[in-house]
Amino acid sequence: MLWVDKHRPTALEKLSYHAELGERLGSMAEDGDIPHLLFYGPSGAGKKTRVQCLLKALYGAGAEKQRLEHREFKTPTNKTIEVTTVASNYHIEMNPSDAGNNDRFVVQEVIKEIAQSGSVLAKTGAQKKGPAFKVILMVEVDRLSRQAQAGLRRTMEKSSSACRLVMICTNPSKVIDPIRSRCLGIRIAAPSEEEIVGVLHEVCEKERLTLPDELAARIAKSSGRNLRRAILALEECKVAQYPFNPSMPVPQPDWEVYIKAIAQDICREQSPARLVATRDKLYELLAKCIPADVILKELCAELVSKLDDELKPQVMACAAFYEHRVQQGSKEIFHLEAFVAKFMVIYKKFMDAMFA
Amino acid sequence: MEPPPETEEDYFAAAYEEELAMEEEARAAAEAPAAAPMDTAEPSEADKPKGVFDWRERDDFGKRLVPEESRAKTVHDRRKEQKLQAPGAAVPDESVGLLRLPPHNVPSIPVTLADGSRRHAAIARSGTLEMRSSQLLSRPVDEMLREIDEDVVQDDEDVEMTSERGDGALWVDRYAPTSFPHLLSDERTNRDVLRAIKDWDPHVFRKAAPAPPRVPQYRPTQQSYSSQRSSNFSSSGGRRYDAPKRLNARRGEPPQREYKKFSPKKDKKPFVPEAPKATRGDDGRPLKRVILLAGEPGTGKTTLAHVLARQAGYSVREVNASDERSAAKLEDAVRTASSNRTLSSDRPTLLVLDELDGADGQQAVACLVRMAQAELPSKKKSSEKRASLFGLKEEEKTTTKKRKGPPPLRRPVICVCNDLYAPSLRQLRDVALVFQLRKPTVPRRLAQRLRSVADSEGVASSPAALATLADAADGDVRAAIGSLQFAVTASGDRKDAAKVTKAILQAAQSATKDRSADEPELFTRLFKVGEPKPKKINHEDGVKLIPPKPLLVELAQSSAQRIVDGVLENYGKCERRQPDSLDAASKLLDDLSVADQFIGTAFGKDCFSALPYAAAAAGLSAHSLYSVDSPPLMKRPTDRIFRSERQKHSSALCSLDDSRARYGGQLKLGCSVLALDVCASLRRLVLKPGSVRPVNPDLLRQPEREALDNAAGRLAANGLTFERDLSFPKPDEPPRPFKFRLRPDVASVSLFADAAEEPLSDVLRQTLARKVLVEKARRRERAEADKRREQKPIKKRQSVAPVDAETLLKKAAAKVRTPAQPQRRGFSFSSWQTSNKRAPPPKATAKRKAQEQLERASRPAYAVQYKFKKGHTNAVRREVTLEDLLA
Repeated sequence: MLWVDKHRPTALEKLSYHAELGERLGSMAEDGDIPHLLFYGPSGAGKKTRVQCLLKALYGAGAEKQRLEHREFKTPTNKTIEVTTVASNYHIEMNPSDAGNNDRFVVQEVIKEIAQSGSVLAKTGAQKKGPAFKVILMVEVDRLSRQAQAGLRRTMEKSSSACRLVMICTNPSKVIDPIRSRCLGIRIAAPSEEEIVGVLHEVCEKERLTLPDELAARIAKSSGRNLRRAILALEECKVAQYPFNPSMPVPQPDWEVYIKAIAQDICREQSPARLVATRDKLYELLAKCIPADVILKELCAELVSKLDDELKPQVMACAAFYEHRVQQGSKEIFHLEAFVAKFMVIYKKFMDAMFA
Repeated sequence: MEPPPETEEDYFAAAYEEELAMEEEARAAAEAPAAAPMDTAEPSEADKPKGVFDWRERDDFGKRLVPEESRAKTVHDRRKEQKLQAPGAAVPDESVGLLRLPPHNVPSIPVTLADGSRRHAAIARSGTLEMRSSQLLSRPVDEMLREIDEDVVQDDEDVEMTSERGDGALWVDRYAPTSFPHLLSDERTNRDVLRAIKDWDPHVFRKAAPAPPRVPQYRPTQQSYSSQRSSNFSSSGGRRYDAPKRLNARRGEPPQREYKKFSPKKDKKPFVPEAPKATRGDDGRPLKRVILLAGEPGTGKTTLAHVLARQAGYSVREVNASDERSAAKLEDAVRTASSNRTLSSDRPTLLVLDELDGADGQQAVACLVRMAQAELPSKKKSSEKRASLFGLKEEEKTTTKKRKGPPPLRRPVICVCNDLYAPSLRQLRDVALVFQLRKPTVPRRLAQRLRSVADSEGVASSPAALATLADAADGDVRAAIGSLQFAVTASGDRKDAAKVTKAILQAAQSATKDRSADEPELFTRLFKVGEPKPKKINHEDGVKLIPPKPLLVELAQSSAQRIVDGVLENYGKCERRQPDSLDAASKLLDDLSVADQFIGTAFGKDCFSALPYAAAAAGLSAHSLYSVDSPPLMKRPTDRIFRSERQKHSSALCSLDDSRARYGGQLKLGCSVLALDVCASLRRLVLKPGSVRPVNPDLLRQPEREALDNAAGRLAANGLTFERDLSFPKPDEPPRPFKFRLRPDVASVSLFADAAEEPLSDVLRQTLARKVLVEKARRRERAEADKRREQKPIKKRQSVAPVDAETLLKKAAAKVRTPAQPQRRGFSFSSWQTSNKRAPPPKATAKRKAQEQLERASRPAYAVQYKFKKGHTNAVRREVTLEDLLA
């Protein structure tokens, strides 16, 4: 098992950082009633870990017994959609974006089903202790289509006696306002580098390894405050070489290396031919499921680090502009290439002025 | 196969088998007089392709040709054509020659002269004209001609294009071609299709199939030329390809690889001279048993199928979209077609499946593919022998055998569809012989057809008006004739030439199909400086110029996404050499980005009126920034590869997510997180390179074994394993007998720019694969054991354990009816009630225990013996109460 999975805390008290937040969630669970929740924060900050801890605090160990279910839904147009859900006796977890364009239908169907069985339970009074509702855990709500989100809001209110929605997303601005107003938003900030170092030491203690502080700090820095990535990097370091060498290289994801190479190419030559060559590389990144905004962010960071201070704000503004376009548009490649072209123009102009 | 039709127009369809021999004769005949000094200007025949007639351009409109040797050939033609036109034709004397327009009352064949102009030779029926190469022209030509003229039968009921279908019939139906020479579709295709049908002759008619076509020398260049031409001008409309041959020719690459490449297939297919290859199986049937005709509406696919079938001696049974086309019905149709001859005619039946790409075609296609691949039942001779030996029994056996599988095709089947690349036809494309009919009709030929229709309807019309109408119809014969009828009806008086002409011109205007331009054409226009030239259209009083549609209109009518994609794809090729090229690119890309924003809005907010703006933003920007004088060949926008790659990778990630949850009990993380953080690490964490020697697992040292076990545990926890890679090796890859790859394919998702995977020998991969299997089984066992341990306490707490035989026995003995409480299973949420239910406090008090003991002592002896055997069974388990057994 990967260390990330092995050493994932399962109780709210055991969470290594954001202790205050953990306490608040704990008191909420003790009370036995939670509102609809919307967890948001960057990737690798521990959103899902916290949700799982909360479920355990609410329902006890039974919430940990989860099973995978393939479920089929039939749309009104007689199309079958297959969705994989993870469920325990107390909750069901689904990724509605799996359903693609028909997510609206799947979401409503699941909520209705649970709302119905919930009401039966309420009548029989079987639930004596513990919360009388089930939890629907929805991940990647920011990828939910607008129609699905709109379909969610009224269902959410009507079925609130039988179920609670816990939603997870990285980008709350993609969740429509009506839903945000119906939920208690909980922001899970990315851990600071010190916190990450602390967690790394914890992990090493459990694995009975000695971790040099210097290496821990370097891993934390290269992880970009993403705890998951930091722990994975630590494990990779262990596999590569143990005992640790403080100056050993910290592994980087291949896509990051690839983006760095692209940035280098762009800085070296600015020409339409290079632009076309870059397009193929961008296509490859997109094809391997690297989100466009991540590409843009990484590329921009990489370019800015190579630039004169004078150009930095210009390039940043440009990147922000096109990231906005990416969010609004339908195909990412146009905006990415447009950004690269714009950068080339800015950079070339600057270089020409400098040497002229 | 053959030269393009411009150089070889002399098809003699029905007499195909004899064509070769006849041609030799014809050549001998033609050369004999050429050797004589009567005509010194005779061009040498040797450097011309065979079968090109060297008509001299000495003909006048409707006048007879004079040169001797030409006339000899005409006679010769007629002789051959008499097979084509069985009933013969009435030939007015002056029409025995070359006409500019096809005579409407006499069958004719088009002929292209040496200078490229087209003439029509009327077909006449000759009598008992003996002609052998040695005796050719032993009599004077005039004498022979006279003989022919005398023999002409004045019987034109079948020749007249008008069939007796009543006055009310649409002209389109009334003037539908009834015989081969009347077809307007591309002649080469016609001939190819006919040949394909004739390929069945050995099986159906028990006679030799036509000889394969000859391969002229200059073929390759012509081929590449015609394949590059845009479709709407290409007069060489037909194309024939064999999918399996293509596969073989490319070193056994899987067909997917073909799809991956951008360029359309037709460009890639290297020219392979048609070597003599086996097109027919041992049973006399051609290897490709289904003929698939594809093409736009109105190109004459259905007509072609019908006419050729009749030409080849079949009667036609059509199954179109109006008929039920379930697999069973289709099989029935094939069975009857292959066994019976219809009552009305003595001809074998040919099945025409029309409109196959329609909504219900899928089932039919699957069934058809199965039938096409079915072999004939085992050889008749042996079965007959056996039948004679064993009497009828064997016969019955074979028939029952036949009934089980799909019936094999014993007659040719022609399928007709509009869209060759409809998904439902995918299977069929590989099995069928595909002919694609493009808009083949040269407007002039269509105009001639219109003219002959008008003439036989007695309509006074001007040729120019008809030509305009033909132009406007853009290759759609059906539409053109339909419009003509409409115009004539609308004019009121068909004898009034002025009125009719006016009506026809109006019809031409409205008949212009409101079609969006061909995509490559549109892109060529976008990247070309200035406006395209206005179209010339023949008008009554001279040439009329029709300006092209405004660019904006054209853009608005096209698909916005295709335009944006196409501009992105093509702008790089139209670059102008100038210092500010980067600026231009940036500007263009900015506009494309805006356009995509519009598209996003259109689809995200259901506001589709934004789409034309997107097309305009992209198109106008490209036109203003990147138009050049002579744009290169445009590529169609293709992001298919990108899409399929993305699909592949995301499904790999999804399955990784699932199997992690299933086998390792991990949280689901979502595809993008896996792609960003986890995949690369997983790949690298499998095994440290070099830590384990690639040897037999028994020879490994202890630390190596531990490392392997760890690796296997890690793989199993993440639902990963190694699997044999059965895909074809890449051409530059060294051959590996056993290739193992990680599944789900984590490696290819996380590696970029063809970077190499961490070296791990295939031996180790195989060992790991086995270990992972063991590890998985171990995990499963452990999980089941856990489950059993969990379920036990629940059972104890429950008042009634349904399978607990002992208690039931007791209860039965005590005659206590306990209602069997069904345990809820199924959906997770419905089951939580039971499992979560707080168990009722155990009632088994001391008092009760004592009572039970008492009962046991006084238990009556029942006839039912009950023994529990422990073991594993795959049988369906059901809860049984003892009451059931006793009842």
